[in-house]
Amino acid sequence: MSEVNLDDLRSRVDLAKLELDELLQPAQVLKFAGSAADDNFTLLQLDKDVLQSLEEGKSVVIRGDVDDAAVLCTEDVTYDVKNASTSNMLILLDDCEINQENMKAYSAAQVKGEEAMTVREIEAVGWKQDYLELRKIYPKMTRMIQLLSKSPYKGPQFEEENANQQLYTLSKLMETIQASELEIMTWLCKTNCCCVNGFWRVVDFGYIVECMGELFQLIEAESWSCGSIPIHDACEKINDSGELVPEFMVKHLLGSYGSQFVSEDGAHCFKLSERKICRLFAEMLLRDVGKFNLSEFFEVWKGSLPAGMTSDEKYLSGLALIDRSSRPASICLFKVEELPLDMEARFDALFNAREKWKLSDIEPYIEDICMKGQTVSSVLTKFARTSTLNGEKLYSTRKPLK
Amino acid sequence: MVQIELKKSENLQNWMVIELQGELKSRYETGLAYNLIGDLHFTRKAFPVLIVGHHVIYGKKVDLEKPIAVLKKSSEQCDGIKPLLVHAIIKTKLVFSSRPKPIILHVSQKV
Repeated sequence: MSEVNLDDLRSRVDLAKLELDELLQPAQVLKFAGSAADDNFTLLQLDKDVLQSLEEGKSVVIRGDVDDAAVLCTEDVTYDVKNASTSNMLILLDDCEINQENMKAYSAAQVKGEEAMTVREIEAVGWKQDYLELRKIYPKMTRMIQLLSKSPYKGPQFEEENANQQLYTLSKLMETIQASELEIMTWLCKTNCCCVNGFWRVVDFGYIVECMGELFQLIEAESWSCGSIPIHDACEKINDSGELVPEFMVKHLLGSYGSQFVSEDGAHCFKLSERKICRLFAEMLLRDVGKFNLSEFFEVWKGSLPAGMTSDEKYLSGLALIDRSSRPASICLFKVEELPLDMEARFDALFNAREKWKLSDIEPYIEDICMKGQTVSSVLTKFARTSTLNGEKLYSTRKPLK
Repeated sequence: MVQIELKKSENLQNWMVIELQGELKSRYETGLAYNLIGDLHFTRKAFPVLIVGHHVIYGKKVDLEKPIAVLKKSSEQCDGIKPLLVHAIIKTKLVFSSRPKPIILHVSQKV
């Protein structure tokens, strides 16, 4: 290491027309270390959340197959990773003093040159002209839907069918899906997946209908209320007559369509959600028919519900589309869960299904894929154009008509 | 699927970065290693001043809204994959984006 020539340092200050009494000491002389290079480190731009995860020693993993774009997952968020290059040069220093508290003014003797300046020699460990950038993304769940749909759970007697199918535990899913643990768990719960013997399974809709039918029969036979179903009795009695519904499935369905509470006499009970049950029945009615006459639908829907539950059009948001312009007015199944997760593909699917949308109609089909900080209106501004008909704002595609 | 875990180094350091517009080149095309960069001073108002070659650049200290992690391939193997080590975090940079002022040498000063 070469000693800094203090006279040279001082004359450089003079030549640069800097006044020593306006500067702070120590002066720092920078040079590149012998090992300095532009490829011994990778820079990764973080946001506060990722930084916190790293500092707390939580899991932060970069994931992807050979063909995938890499993503970075913390325990709860997924980020897209992109390389960004800059025309600026970033010089990396591991020991540079920038804290003003550790600096002080030069003394009069130093300014006059009677005493030497203080100096530190700093070695730069490297330089970079690129870094990795992170962008929060909606997790790539499409692959998970595909994987789990291959082997739906249809009941214990059909399990032999799935003997040769690959089934997925949570850790297997985390190895396969480019998403964080929290996002995977949230999605599994949202889509009412059930953990059967440690494997996460999509429950076949036909099987759900069958089991719920048994459950409603039992509720009626026992004269229970949908607002208070004793879980222990339900599991025991449902198997007394006819079809066998496994205990874990009873609990899973009660959990999916209701919420647990403890009654006054200490029994664990479930309260079925009116919204969820109404949606289940609406889907049952609409599932295998293309279009349904709207007034007939409301009639049948109302009549099909278990005692104590009342149908309401608001329960259909994100589930079915009502077309009041057709003669007669009609309704058809249009599930937000079955639409693409990519924002652009989602809008294509929406405008394919219907040319012009009212805000209240389109909202439930966009909300679910809005990222933190994104609002439905900001997304609409980006992906849709507006027109006004009879004083009402309508949204349509920005893409030219084919 | 390839999974690379980011691991915090046991003594996570705080580094600093100097951002220059343009590029530094060594005089004799010998690469940058071992070469002198310049003198860094701070004014009494805590603005950084850099003397590079025969230029003076005034800069400013910026706290990064998005901090930068310095990653380094780890030497230890774990299931055949080398985890990336988070060696340091950069939260502050000195940006020198103003136009460099040339230093004019006065011959008379030397005499």
